[in-house]
Amino acid sequence: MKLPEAKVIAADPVFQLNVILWSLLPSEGGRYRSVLHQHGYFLHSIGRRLQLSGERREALAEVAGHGLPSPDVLADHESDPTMLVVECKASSFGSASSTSQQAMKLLVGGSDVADTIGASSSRPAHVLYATRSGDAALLWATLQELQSSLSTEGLPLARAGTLTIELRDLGAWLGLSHGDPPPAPLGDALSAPVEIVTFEEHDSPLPLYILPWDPGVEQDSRLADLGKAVIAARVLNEATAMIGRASLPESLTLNASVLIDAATFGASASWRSRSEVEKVESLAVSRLMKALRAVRDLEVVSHSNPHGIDLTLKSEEQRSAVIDALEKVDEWEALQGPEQPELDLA
Amino acid sequence: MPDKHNLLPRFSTREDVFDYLDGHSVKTADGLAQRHLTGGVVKTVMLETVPGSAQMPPLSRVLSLNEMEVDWIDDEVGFVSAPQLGTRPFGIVELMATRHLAVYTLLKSDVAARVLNPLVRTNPWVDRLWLSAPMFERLWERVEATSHPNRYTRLKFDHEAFFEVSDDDPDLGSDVDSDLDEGELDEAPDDRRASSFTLVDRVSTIREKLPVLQDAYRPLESLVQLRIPAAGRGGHDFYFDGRVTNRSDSFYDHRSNVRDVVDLYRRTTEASENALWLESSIEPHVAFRGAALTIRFSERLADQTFERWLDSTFTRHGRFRLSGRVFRTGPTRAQIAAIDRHLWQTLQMEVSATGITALVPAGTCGNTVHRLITNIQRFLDPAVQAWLGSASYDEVVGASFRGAA
Repeated sequence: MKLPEAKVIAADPVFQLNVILWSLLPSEGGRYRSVLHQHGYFLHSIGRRLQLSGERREALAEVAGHGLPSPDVLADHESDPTMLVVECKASSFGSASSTSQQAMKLLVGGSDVADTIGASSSRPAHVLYATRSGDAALLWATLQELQSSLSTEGLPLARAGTLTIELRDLGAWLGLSHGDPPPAPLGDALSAPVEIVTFEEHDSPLPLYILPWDPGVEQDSRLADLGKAVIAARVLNEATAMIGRASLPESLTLNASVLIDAATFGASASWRSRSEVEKVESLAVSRLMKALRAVRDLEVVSHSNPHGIDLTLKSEEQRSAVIDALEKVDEWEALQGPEQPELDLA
Repeated sequence: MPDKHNLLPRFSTREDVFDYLDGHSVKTADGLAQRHLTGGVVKTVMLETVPGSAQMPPLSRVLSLNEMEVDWIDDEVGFVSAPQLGTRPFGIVELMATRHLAVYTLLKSDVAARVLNPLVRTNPWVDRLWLSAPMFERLWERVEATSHPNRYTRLKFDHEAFFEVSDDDPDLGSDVDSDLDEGELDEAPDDRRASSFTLVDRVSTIREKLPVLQDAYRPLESLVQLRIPAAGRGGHDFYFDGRVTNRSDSFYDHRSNVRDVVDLYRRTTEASENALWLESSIEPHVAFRGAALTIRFSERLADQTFERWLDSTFTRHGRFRLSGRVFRTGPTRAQIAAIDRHLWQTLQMEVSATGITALVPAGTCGNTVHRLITNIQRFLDPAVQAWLGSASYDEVVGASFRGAA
């Protein structure tokens, strides 16, 4: 499989999310520059639902529909009171699109996130849409339109703006392009675009995936396949590690949601598409079962509520056979049916 | 019947055990026991168990996974026996703090290795202490500060450019724990760089000359063994993999030095874990439970070296005991879903010709970090640098040692 060209990768929300996460995650000495962390920001949560009071939900229901928004990233600051709400988008959207309904909720919900984080006093947030650079101006125009219409409804509004993510000069660059005056630390951090990830010539422009995939996000199929394979590899490893740590003889349960939770550093709890999550859990269990059934004399039973597998390990030989069987499972095939070819860098 | 393995008699108190190891005559139920040699030539292995794991069974049960049996004298000290050596104890196990232990034995080195290496290799709850070069550097500074300048000491450096060979090497897959002999480097083939230096000189001379030598030749950054001078004659040889040999005339002095180093190691490990976890988990409700470890090579690996390292490392029997599923993302870059096969913990890695970035899940043992750095220093790059989140590994080690001063 050949990865898509750079402009498709730059527009990929999972790629964008990982660039944002690397800008927040403390790291030094390598190819990642955690510029937002260096200016005092830290990751608060991924995919957390923004709380809105009943009164505001009622006011928004007519123009923005039901439900609460779950932005990709919520970031806090060590001293500045304004938090950051970041949503990644492949491209701009118009004020009449369905995406604009989510934007309206973010703009209103971001005006005070105290309920969302359980704070006792008001906490404003700055709402940021991350997108590829060519779409930022249009997206900001849409946000301004939405701000204007919400303002006439008398609803409180967060300040907002756009972040740009570009692939150029062998790097992934994060910039602050359009918007209301940013919180001071954000303005300082991104007074000019910053190279968050550097690449070498002929590298695929991918960062080390913190989150490789989100089943609720629309992606180019090649990037989605790669993300699923990485998640599958991690899930298989988590299962293998559990088997490796077992004190024999031992009965243990491989719970699909626990394995996926570990494989995503706890972020899968925020995956929004529950039906997709169910599908992934079911696939993981069926593929694990296929491998485990091949181990001689292994007592193994699967269940679907929750998705998981019970097995009993009786001896070191059996442990070794189970690990062997799990290590032979093809990660490309594990979560996506037919086997995919290896990544082609040519 | 003479005891060819130097097994131990049983005593009822720790004081009796330690007196016996120190060379005193100690009364047992069967009569009077006395060692032929006084004080010295006790071998010690310093070990670490997985921290804070609710899943970890009690230590007796952990050791029983390797068919070892512990007969506790008190809450911290017990006799340990292994079936291949019969029912008499081959060593004394001593718990130090919550997660570290030392096993003292009079067995010959090769017998001790045969008994204890499988414990580390196959037991998911037990690992060695991995004394990295930055830790040895700080220990050396302590020796400089506390020893008379005319005392003799011994430092050993080794680095084997293990992955530089272009020809096929049948030994490539062997893991690092299986061959922990002092003479390992002497047997390295001649077609790759292998540097092994032992310096035995006065403290003052080494203090003066070492920085000059290290500036001139990078493998001298890879310090793997240090003799800490004893209060009396001789000293205590600490090895990179947690082994210690008592070459002094006092077991008590030996134990005291082992306890000091274990304490320093504990502080460093806890500080490493804090550096990784506190920065990334300032609030308890943060959704992401991981942190970044960065390792930077002092110079770029040759393409062939990178290929060889990548191909031979992340396999079931790889030298670093890391297996993994590899996703190539560039000619000299790959993402790897990896498993630490010592402790059966997962980690996500990106490796390239210039270094490593690893995402380690919250709670990962700091020992995993020390082991990775120590192995890279020995086999890939003697002057490697590392960061835990945004904190320099050297500074974390230095601060831990200063904090204990």
